[in-house]
Amino acid sequence: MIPVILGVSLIVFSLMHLTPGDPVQLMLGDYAPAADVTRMRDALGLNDPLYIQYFRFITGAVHGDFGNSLFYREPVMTLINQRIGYTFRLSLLSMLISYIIAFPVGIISAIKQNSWLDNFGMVGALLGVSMPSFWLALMLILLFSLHLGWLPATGVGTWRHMVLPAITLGTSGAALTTRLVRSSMLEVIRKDFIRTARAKGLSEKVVIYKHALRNALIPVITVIGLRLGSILGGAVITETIFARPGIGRLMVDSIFKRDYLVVQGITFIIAVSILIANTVVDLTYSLVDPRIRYE
Amino acid sequence: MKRKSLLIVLALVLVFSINAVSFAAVHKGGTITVGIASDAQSLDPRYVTTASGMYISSQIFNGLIKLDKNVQFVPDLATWETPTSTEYIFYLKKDVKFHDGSEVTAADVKYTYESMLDPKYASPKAGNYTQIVGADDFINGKAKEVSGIKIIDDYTISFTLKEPFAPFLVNMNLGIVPKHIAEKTGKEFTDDPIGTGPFKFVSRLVEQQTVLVANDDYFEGRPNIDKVVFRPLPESSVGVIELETGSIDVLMSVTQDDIVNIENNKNLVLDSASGTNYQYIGFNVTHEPVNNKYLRQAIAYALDKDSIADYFNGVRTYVPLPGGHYLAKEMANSPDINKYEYNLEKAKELLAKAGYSNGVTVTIKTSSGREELAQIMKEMLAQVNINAEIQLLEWGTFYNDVKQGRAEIYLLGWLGIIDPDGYWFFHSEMTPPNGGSNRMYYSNPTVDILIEKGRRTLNPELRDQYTEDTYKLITDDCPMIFLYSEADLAAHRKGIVGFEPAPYPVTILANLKSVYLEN
Amino acid sequence: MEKKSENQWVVVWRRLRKNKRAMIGLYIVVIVFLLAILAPVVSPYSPTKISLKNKLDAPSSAHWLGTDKLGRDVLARIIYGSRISILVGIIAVGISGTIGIFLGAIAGYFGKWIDVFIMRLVDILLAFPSILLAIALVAVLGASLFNVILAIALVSWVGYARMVRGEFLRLKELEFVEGARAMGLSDFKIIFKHILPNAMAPVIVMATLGLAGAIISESSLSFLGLGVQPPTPSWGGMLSEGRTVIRQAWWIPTFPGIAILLTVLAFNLLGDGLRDALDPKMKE
Repeated sequence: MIPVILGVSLIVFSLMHLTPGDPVQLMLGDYAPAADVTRMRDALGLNDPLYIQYFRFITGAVHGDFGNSLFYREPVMTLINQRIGYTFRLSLLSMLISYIIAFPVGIISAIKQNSWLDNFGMVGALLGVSMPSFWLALMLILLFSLHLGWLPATGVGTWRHMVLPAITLGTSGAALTTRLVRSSMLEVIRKDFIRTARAKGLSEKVVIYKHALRNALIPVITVIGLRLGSILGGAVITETIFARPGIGRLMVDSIFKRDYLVVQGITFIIAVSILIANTVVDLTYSLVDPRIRYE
Repeated sequence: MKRKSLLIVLALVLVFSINAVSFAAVHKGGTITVGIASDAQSLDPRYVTTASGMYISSQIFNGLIKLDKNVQFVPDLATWETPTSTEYIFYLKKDVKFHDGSEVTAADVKYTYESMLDPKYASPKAGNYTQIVGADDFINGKAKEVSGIKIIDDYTISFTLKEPFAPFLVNMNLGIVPKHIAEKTGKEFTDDPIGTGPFKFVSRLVEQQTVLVANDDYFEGRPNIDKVVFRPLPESSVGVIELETGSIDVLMSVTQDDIVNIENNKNLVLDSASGTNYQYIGFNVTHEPVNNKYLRQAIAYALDKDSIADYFNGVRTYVPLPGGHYLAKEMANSPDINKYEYNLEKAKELLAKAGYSNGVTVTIKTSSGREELAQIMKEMLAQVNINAEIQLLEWGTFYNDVKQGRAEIYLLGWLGIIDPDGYWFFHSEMTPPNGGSNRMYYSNPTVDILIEKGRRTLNPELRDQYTEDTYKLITDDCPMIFLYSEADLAAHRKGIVGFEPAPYPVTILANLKSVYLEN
Repeated sequence: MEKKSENQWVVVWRRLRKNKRAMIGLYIVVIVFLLAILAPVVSPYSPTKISLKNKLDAPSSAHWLGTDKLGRDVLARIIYGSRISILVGIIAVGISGTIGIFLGAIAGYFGKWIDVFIMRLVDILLAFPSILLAIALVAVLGASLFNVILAIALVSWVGYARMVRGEFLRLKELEFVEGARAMGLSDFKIIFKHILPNAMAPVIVMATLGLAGAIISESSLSFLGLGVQPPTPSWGGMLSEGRTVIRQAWWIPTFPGIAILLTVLAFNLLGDGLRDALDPKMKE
């Protein structure tokens, strides 16, 4: 875990400092003369050698201190704390939505392969993956907020504010997972042990849910870990359109403003959470498939 | 029939007269929710650098002076006079109270400006006030106070400048903070800002909303509404939808594409004011191949600038001023200003003169939001055998390239231009890296002298003359092609009475305290 | 040896031809490719010809799919856009698939420090918000078509690597691999000739979905202002440009959206068919 975090921190640090653009210049704007820029860079510690800045980042990060945002003038940790809960809840709900859709549709499609149900599920899933999230978000807002007036378009507060963003964010996940569940179910169904189970006279239900599904879960679980990173990517756009506070939007805004310390802080926090989540996934993985062991 | 129309006329007269004088029947109370493009990064006027931040903080704070809806300076907390060309004396109104009940005095004013210049606080706006005598010594730690800011008595304060400086007032609308509180809370002042404004700060949830309530003791009288809520809505088309659904009452970020949807909804009112911006094409005049003046002029002639202005619903301008500015209007008829009227023959002639009769390739750099202009330019330039390549860059990269002189042609606009001072844009001292805003790297000694003369004179006619002479040389050198000004747009729901369209940075919000809700 | 592998593809093709859904997919893919290649011949207008007075014209007999904000023909832009979108999709998937399969295979097969090293790299990238990497890469390298593709590819290879490694971990314990080893075949041959074909089924599903993902990623980058350079048309870019006028000119974003959907559908149908046809366990 530690080498991975060090790797992540090094990459984000070098990427941010390689990216052309100067936070102070962006902040001070058009009229600022060089003397002001230099003075401000000094005050913010941006003129220190890079290795010192990196060292400051790492030693601070160990204590959960990522320094002060250049733009907001507040501790990065405060900015993250104000927002991370919203992103976390949205991601969780959207994952839930995608699995609630994906499992039944994927399983039915596999069992009734090539039926109209399967075709329907397949087209639905592809509709889901081929819609960019900003597009789906606008469509949902136009329909449910503007024309029907059922749900609020923007903001946070009640569960009703969560519905449209969670659907937006969950759709592409649902589509991808449906396809995965279907294909791994298909694969498993053809396997010998399923035939044996059937031959033993076990009911179809038991065969599918007890034997097939459990084995089909393996690749699906693997993908949960992969999904985390991309959910955050989707959150950037979802949070922007639905005007939700969140770290996805904060991160992209900060990249555009070259607010190095905020980007570093968020990346660090995300990296740690994804690593923890993946460790959990790996453990589940070996639980489901006893053949795989982790030394 | 006749009686009915008479009644309507009477009703209209009544409505208009109420609007005009608002003497009676003003409904009190209610909440107005305002959608803004992004959340404020700070509410402390000394640190506010974004439009959204300014919208909120200007309701909580007052400056010494302010701009009215015609973009003229008028007294706010103070009246002023200029006894000599380098001295400004401000006379504070008496009995103006901060939200904590204490009175505004000259000490608060001095503190506000000094704390901003203090390097310890690293205010991004400090650079605007270095014209004041003693500011440099204070910044460099050589003096404990700024000698040019003198308290004469509790209600009188004077600012002395190093030399006459006509545009000095432009930055004197900075919100005044209470010394006794701001000194204690330091950088945390923004978390619970206390000012003199028509509204008092209540609460703020980052990226969600900022809530203000009416200040009962406001020195110009209590606002009609009770509460105002600011909500950031980054995607402008969604902002319009929220306005239509009634989730918000006012939208401050309206784009050209949204106009149709606002006009099609009878519950909405579009507030359009002649803009204080101008859009331009900038050249880095030291960069191959546009270091050739004839090529720049050829490009200017080859562009159908009237059609471009039409397409973007803009007001054409020929000089570095918004199209609605009185000087811009005057100079549109001046024979001395080259307007580069669309003329392909002339463009070809100049191209030949520049040595590019066989064509030339140029690169246009721009960033999101101006890609349409870039594509229109490319198409128009192709007619005279100029091949333009477009590089659409992320804003931070683009901005850096422009400043570092790595953009031969770039598309940008200046916002909030209310003064004809050309110093920031065309004076050679402002060329990066020493300055920040002459990104054409333009240098013409005669222009420099004329600009300096214009800044030092406080005689309006003489100043206009200097301005015209300056612009004449600038248009001929053609470091910029001036295109058009966009209208400054906002929108609100019907049922809110009293908003007056005004350009940025004044906006309809300047009048928020007088606005009331219909029943 | 030559003959045998040729036979194998013939078998695959024969199986594929019997699969109706796969053939529909194949037809659409062929049509899209033909459109891309023959764009100058079939397109009614130039995709970049601006006509300001025809701004936002609704679909009509002159402009079947209407015009965009600059008065350009939407149909022409969709036809030319197929070139860019397919290029983005195929090259991004090609690069990320090749890197991912190769690294995943050697990690899964050899295990030990190679596995540890590659998986650390995968973990780092997985723990890294992909959007940050994409934005930063485009910002550092500049937004050209190739850099956009590269950015998309570099953030998506880890999925293939993890998937292939997982399959290899499972497959390398099986008898046929033991058998191949006993016959003294080189590691290279075992990996690419024996194990990999058996691990391809999930990879193909992932790749066909990845194609959609790449086209959508380009669109998302356009949303953030980092897409393919104008005036070059791309489907994703058209969708993103059109979003601000969706209420007054629905045709601008809708038709490129349909184009994306059809293409993605076709590639997936074909991918599914290929997976089934390649599956050695499938009997004819």
